[in-house]
Amino acid sequence: MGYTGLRIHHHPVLTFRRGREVTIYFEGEPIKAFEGEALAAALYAAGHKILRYSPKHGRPRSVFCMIGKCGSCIVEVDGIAKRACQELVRDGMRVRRIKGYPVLKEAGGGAKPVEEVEAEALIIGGGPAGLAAAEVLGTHGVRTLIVDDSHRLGGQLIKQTHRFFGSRELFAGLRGFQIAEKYEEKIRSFESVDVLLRTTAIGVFKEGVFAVGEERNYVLRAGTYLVATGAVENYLPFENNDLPGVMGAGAAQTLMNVWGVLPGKRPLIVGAGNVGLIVAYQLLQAGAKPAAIVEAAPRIGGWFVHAAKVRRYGVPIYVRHTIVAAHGEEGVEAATIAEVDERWRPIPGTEKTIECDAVLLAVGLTPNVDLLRQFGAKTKYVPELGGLTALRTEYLETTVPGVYVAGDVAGVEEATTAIIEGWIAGYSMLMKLRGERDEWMKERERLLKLLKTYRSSPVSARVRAGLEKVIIGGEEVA
Amino acid sequence: MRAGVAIIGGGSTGLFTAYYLRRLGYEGEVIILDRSYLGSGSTGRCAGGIRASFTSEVHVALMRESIKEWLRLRNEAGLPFRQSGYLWLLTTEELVKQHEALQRLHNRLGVPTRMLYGEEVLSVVPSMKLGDVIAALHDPTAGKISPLKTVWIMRRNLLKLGVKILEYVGVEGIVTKEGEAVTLKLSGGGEVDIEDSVIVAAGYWSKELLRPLGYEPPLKGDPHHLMITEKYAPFLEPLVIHKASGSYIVQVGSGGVILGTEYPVPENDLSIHLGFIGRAVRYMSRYFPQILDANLLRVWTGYYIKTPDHHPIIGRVPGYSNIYLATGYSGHGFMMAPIVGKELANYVMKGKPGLPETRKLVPERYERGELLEEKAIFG
Repeated sequence: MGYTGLRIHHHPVLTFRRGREVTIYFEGEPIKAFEGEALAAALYAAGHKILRYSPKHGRPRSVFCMIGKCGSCIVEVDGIAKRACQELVRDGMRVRRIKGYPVLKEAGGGAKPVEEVEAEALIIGGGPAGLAAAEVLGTHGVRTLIVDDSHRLGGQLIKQTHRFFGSRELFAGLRGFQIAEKYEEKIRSFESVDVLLRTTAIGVFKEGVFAVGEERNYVLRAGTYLVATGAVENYLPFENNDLPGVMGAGAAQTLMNVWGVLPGKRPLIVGAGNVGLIVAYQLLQAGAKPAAIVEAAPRIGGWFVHAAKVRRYGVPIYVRHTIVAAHGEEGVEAATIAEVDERWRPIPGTEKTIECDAVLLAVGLTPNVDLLRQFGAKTKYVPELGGLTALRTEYLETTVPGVYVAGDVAGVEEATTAIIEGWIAGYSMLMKLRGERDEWMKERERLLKLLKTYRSSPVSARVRAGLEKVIIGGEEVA
Repeated sequence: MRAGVAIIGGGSTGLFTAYYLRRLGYEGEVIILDRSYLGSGSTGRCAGGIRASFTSEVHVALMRESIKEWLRLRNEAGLPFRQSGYLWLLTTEELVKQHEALQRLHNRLGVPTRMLYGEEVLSVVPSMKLGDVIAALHDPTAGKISPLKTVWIMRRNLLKLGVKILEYVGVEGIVTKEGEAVTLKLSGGGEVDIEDSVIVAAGYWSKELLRPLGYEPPLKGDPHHLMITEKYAPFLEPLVIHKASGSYIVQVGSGGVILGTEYPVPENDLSIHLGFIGRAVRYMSRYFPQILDANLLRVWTGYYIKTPDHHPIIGRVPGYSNIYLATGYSGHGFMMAPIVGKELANYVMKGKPGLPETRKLVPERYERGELLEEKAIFG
């Protein structure tokens, strides 16, 4: 397979700083790739959408989440099974597709060394919430450690190209990736803050938080913990929903905005909330032409400005519609959509087929609460917040003293609220460690007010209703 | 609500008891009650290993019979029991001698275990590194099955057989009259009137249930850890035990690799210890170095419910004519469940068990000083 045209060379907003060009081998075939880019992106750009075959039915599979949360891109890299979205390209790497389950092989390095690290504050997740908390803690000289499974700080901010609105304090006018860059610089400037990247906190044990890194593993212990693990994208049941090219809208953003690779030239987007609308606009920016946006609800869910922008470019938005099937042999070639009734069931006879080469699912996210539950924090199922999330005080302490929560894991919202929550959690952790101080209390109250103001618009009504179900009094922290 | 037989506890013992009641022709209403979901206790937390290679005659004989049932149930009940064997790795001369004696015991009782020396061990597990292993005892009759799958399949079988299953219904008390159970008081205020018998198969919790009746079984909850990796292509057929450390490894049907080891923690401490992983991996990676590169998926704890002589308590509850107890398997309850279920059904229908070995497991043995001994308890 040669030129696919999926590489983005000109972008109005982004500059892709790619590594040097190297050769890797996929199924024995040489492929040009850039050093340091995600292996999954390199293979996708080269037209190799099929990365593995499903173990039971041998169905072709490709990227779905692009952030190491699912298993659909597991390939064999130099003999060892790895997630292609988390593996970075090195010159000469040999990659093979896995049919069935991967063969468990000895890599030869022996047991990885285990390092024990103590900190005053451990922040799990270096996205907007985690970084904001680290900013507060770093400013006050608290010994803080951030652990993140990605190759960069910033979480999902690194793939956001739209400008944020609001006040200057809330980064109005800056684009998401620029906020991530600014934050990264700031966090790196604090002497008391350390960062472990490409290191996954996989479990909470009696002895501490166990984290798996590239060269070594860690047992991490701290006086206070912030779980800022974000959320994972939702799936949608429809025929052929595992066909290569069907992926999360967030995965599409990672592909095109972080790695400069289009998910398709004519993708269909499912869901017209903010994520669906923004991804459509970003596709247009990157040179693709979205086939359509379908939305099961009777109205567009996202901000009007985003919808207007997309419409201006002639992308049709079908409300009261859903996807019923994807078609294609080795990847998406078309999709069938249909009108839905008031209970969101497809109405027979209303089907139409749309030509497209990818299907991007922007159908919500689910808080990533696994570690919270392992800490023993009480969780509650709150549909308005995306699913299970932690009970917590308004100062973001969970039912486990010293364990805090902020960002999407505390209820799916957006980067701005995640940042404010991160600041509030940061002050809570600071006072847990150093005792209460008037100026800190005042600042935290101010931030709480800011958060309330930010959430006062009608768009946040659902979130407000959800929050009422999870905010507990301080006496319930046991 | 009325029941011919009410079974308290929807773990493997309860499920198989209901099954054998029907198979032996019991026609009354059979109800299984569980305060949580089926298999939520020790059953759903065990590794699913099944073996007859024990050190006591009672255990060997019971498990020999249980394996016969597991094999029969493959066709009869659709349970995918895989007779993949157990392999006991022996690393000292003393262990080798002990196991040569055990082989003689097993063979005498009809379990065809055999000793393998040196390289012969690799004929059973080619993917293994021999390391410091001198010899191994191979139990070809042993095997494995997913406990969770077993629960689902048995539930389906039982519903077809007209057994009533009530989940998230706890039993708050057993009302007795003149040495007989007459009614169960349920959480939420319901009641079950008993026509024939009550089976108490509630694991550690059996203690709380029976205490008000004046009998407290000598049970101790001993938490054990287990871990499972992501799924990999098949590379390990038998369950392999490193005898000296009490560590074991088994690749289950779905492809995940389960590891266990002796890792003592205080009673009632069900929290998850990292030290467990270190110990299990340290021992088993000597023979299977590839597990160092496996992705860990889950770690959990569950109870071995131990008795003073590490044998289960199976029989009529002292002082009551129609209450039967089966628990305290000391880590072997799931593998024994078919034979125990059959014997409990025998108790209900014939007033006595079918095997002489089962009779030795009655609760009264502790008072009489007729304790049994079992040394092969692991992980």
